[in-house]
Amino acid sequence: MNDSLPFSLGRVGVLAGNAFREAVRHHVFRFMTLFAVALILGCLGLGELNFGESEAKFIADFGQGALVLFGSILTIGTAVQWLGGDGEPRAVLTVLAKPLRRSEYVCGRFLGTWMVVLVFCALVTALLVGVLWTRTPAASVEAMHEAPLVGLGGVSLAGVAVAGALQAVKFGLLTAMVLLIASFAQTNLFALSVSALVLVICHLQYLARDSWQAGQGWIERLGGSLVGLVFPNFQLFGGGEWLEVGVGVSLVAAGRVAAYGLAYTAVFLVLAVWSFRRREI
Amino acid sequence: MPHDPTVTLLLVLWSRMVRPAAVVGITLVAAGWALRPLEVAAWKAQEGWWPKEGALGVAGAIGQGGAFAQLGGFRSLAADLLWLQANACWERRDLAGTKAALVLVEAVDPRPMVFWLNGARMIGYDMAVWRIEAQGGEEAVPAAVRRRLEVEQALAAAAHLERAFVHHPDHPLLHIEIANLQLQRLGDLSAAAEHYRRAAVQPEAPFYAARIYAELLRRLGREREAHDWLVALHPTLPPGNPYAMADTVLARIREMEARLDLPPSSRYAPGRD
Repeated sequence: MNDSLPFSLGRVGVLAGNAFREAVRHHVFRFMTLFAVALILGCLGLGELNFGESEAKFIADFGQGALVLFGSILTIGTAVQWLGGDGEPRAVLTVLAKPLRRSEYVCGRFLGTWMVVLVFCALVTALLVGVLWTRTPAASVEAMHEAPLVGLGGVSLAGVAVAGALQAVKFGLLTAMVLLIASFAQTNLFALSVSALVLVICHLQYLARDSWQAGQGWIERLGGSLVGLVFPNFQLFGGGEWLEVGVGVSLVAAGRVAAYGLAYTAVFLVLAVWSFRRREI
Repeated sequence: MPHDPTVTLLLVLWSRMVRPAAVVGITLVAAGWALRPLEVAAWKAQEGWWPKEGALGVAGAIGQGGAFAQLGGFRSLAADLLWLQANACWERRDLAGTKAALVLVEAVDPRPMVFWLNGARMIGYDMAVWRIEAQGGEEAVPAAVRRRLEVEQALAAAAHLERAFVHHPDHPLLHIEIANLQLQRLGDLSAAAEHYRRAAVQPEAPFYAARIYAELLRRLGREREAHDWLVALHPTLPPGNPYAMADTVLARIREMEARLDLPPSSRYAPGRD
């Protein structure tokens, strides 16, 4: 234990840089990025399927789907390996043998993983904006020059950026949650399974909230309240609804969701540090 | 002091499992409680985006595809594929299949208005015909039974549209569709007029909603009310927009004034307050 050392942001930065480089070289990052890009480009061939919405909205929604799906896999796949378990031939031991606080280790790994996910989100969002731009009629592009928030069939380019940023915040929160799970998991398989389960629960948390407010009987309400309070609500970060920022959705609401995500991230990160400090390695 | 293995085991369990789990649980409950106002405010703004518990149960029936759409964000694609399925069932006049597919479309992606409106038309108009045909056709089915089937389907379509208000509060096209069902299938002029009125007062209402509301008031014998409505409407109509039909509205006002035999001082004069 080196917990008598003062907390150093410099060491956290070095660890974050290392984690970032390792994660970028990892197959998970390359494959997830490749799949997301392929899916977004592939959706151009599915334009005939947009019955309910404009083509722009269909493409934007599809792109958001790719971002959410592959971003979640990338986040869990990357974060789960850092805190021991049976992965990365116990690399954690060699790092912790150096003069380093465990809290610095967790924070460094968190920042490194989040940076990788931020790069992924930026790449996919930029590609989505580019694709939307090429599929936009010239008249709409002219209108957008005058007012960037003008909707392209219910979608705004600012909205695509806001939606991408909110997903990045959500993945930061997911990273902290996965680190908490990995901090006590004995195997990577366990950490992966539990993280995936938690992801599903967080996406369906709003149903627990409904049960809490309007459930039948105290057992349902108590269960709903516990799930509703323990797990963050991932549906707040949306699938494709933030694409309408500036058209029908306010930027203030997006800021409120980002604050919610960042506050929860801090809580999960503190818990991950606490749990990892107690761990026998 | 004797070394009791049970006590030791309990102490180890407490220290390694129960205490950490309790600390994490209590911290998360406290954090959830503290962040609840933020969550409630953010959720209020977007509650209509997501299907309700019951609807998700139905979505679950389509298996991983539905869950994938809910969790992964591919809602548009999943809903479009389900809409194709609904139309395939509609072509086969498969009543149960069409109904089930429409419920699934509604559960997966309640945002597109076209799904709600066309779904309501399938339920309200087409399914009534299918049910009559299933009982032997118009020749074989007594008029009272035909009427009952038409009313049942119209009410089901209206209920389908009412569910859409959760996601599209007071959308004028939903009110107009319900009004059309009231008018053409249920024969309830009053209810139809009320829905046309509610459609007409929405900011994005088509111009014809206000004109039809006035016409229904006239048919209900409330011609003076219709006149006042059109008089209030006329100055708001953009003169250059052919859909606004300002001249037609003015002509109807004149016809009503003639029928009501209004004195010249009570007659509408455009441009006068």
